[in-house]
Amino acid sequence: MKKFIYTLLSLLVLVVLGDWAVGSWLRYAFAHTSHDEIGRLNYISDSVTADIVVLGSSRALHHYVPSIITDSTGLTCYNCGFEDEGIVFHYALLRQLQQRYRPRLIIYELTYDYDIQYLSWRPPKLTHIRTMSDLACRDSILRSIDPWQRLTMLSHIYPYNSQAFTIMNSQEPTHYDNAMADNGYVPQFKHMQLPSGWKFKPQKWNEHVDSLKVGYLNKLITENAGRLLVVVSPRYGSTEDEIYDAARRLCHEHGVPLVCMVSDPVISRNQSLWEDDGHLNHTGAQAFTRQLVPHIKEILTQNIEK
Amino acid sequence: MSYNSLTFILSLPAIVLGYHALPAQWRNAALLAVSVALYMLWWPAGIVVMAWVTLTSYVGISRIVRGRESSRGAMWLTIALTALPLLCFKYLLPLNDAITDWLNIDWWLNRHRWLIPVGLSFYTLQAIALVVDVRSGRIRPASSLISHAAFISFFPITASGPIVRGQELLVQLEERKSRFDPDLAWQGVRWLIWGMFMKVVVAESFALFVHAVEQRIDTQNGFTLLQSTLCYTIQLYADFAGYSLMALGTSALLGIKLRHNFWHPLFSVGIRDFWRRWHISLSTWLRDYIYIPLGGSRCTPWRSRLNVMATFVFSGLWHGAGLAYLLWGAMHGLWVVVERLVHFDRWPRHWVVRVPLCLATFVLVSVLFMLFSHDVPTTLHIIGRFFGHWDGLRLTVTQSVNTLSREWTMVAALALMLSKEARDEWAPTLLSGRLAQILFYACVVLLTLTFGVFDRGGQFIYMHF
Repeated sequence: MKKFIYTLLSLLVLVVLGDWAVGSWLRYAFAHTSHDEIGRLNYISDSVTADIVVLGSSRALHHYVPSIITDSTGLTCYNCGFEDEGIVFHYALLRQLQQRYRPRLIIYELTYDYDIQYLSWRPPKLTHIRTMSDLACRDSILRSIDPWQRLTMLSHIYPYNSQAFTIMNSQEPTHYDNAMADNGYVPQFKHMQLPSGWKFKPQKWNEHVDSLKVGYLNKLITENAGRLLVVVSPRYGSTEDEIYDAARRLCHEHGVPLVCMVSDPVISRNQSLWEDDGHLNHTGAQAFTRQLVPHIKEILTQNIEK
Repeated sequence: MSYNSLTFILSLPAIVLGYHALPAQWRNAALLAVSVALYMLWWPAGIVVMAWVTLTSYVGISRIVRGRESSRGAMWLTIALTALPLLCFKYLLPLNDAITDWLNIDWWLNRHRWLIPVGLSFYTLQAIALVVDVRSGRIRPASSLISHAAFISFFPITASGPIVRGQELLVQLEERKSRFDPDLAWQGVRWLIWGMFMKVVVAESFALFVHAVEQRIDTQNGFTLLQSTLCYTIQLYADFAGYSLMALGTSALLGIKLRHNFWHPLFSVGIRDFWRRWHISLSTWLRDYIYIPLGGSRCTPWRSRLNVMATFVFSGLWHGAGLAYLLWGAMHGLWVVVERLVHFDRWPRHWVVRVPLCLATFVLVSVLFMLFSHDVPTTLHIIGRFFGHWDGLRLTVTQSVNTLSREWTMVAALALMLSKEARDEWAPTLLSGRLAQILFYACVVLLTLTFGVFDRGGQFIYMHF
């Protein structure tokens, strides 16, 4: 019995020491990483000072061209879109950004499956939220998703979980490090190939709403009303306008404009503008951003009038 | 409650300490209470089904023991009643859908969909085996309903097995041998740590890739789809074997020793060898309660081949109702028959032959596992894309999961898993001292913290079977 207890204690001591040593190194290395998604996160958190910021999933990242917005409005713009991230992360990211300054306009790309729909197999990702400063209400966000996070955050390694290879892999540029990137916007240049015999058909969405996601969407809207523009950018062949009705009502209640271009007749059926059925290529992104500019100007004018 | 949840990890020491602190005569009752409480955290109503299986098997066994002369009829009646929930939950709706589709009719049952209670397929087979074993005199029945219920609901194994026999678990529960064994407990801690690594690091990192590919099958080239197919097998193995190890580890901490459910199936040479290493508790169950009662190999060669086919078709249908599962079982059965015909077991096993055969087995098993995650037309469509849209050795999966870091995690995790398994298979005494073990498992914990994927919900694949 004694042998078992000593063995277990030795294991525990080694784990605690290892956790402290590896975790300390990860914290230092993370803060000094300037490539891939960690570099992007660090840059947005520490350096972005643009007048207009774009937030949202990969559809934000690949759809909003800052140079077009800047040329049309005279205001600086940065695209803070992140692949595979939804409302909870973007709310935290905005809070982190707002520790330093308040952007004049926030454009939020609303994506049904990331921001509204309940998906049991895809709970909100916490990976990047854990690394943020607690000033950005990190701990309260983590607790709202999983009460045990308070305990797991005692570990020094856990906040940087699954980031080690990204930190070490500074040689291999990813699409976030794309030389063509324009103020955070990452262009794509392929053209979608459809299988032979492909026909437009309405996509069936599960309308099970995730109260956690909608709760954070509500927070984003209420806390930023007056300088927030919610946009649903086009989706190829989409006829799914009505699934955004709940978000439309929420925005309307708080006087936040929602521009829903998901089934835009010009873009959503023009195959040459698409990289795949959810993402525009560069030509498509330019066409979409140009169509969006009048809406941006309108809200900026309204804000000046106020 | 899932093994990889923090709630379980934190409650386990309390359960273990509480269990060993109790007087021996109270332990089965305590075990039953904990098992029922933990089971109800999955889905409270599911306990009704478990209670049905427990009571029908217990009452049936009592009747069999009391009236031996008519025990054959009592055995079949007990098996039928015990298996009734499994048949209803797993096969009634798919059968109804198939028939109503065929007859083009619509009635009330078409509008009903229900969840299969967690672990139903596992504990039902466990109860059936106990009924048969008691009837054949291989084991004595449980001395009380509490012991019987503790055996059926034993919490480490309820969700995804292994399917344990009465001789293995009930005997240990009955004889109250489950006192704290320090060596077994240390083994249990190691199994828990390694099982967690397999699930959280290996299975979950492969799952990210597989899921990303499967979301958009039509935009992937043949190379990506083939890689995803192979990765799914690794994901499935690490997921299920990880669960099984954690079940063994938890049992070991309670002083109960269970047999391995997997023995390095990625090193299998041939399908027969694969089934000796993969889900061992199911394959031995099928052997003992389907194949041998059908006549096994002690009959004409053709009848024996038919028995093999019937056993594997049953195995397929146990995994789920549907053509894909049936075909999966039949293909495995067919391959085993072919291996027997060509006397594959007698082929040379020099490593020059072994390595390519091992790889070929892995590819074959992976292609057949496609029927686990897709229906038959989709499987054929994907196989068609292997050849029709090969498009070179380049991945077409969306960039969000195509970063080198995630691929590195997959490769490094797989390399570590295979290295440990190779050591266990061919050099089990290598670095087996206590100090080496402590260092190794401390590193495994740190690697799990560093590279584990904790945010995907962490459900085990086999819970759906």
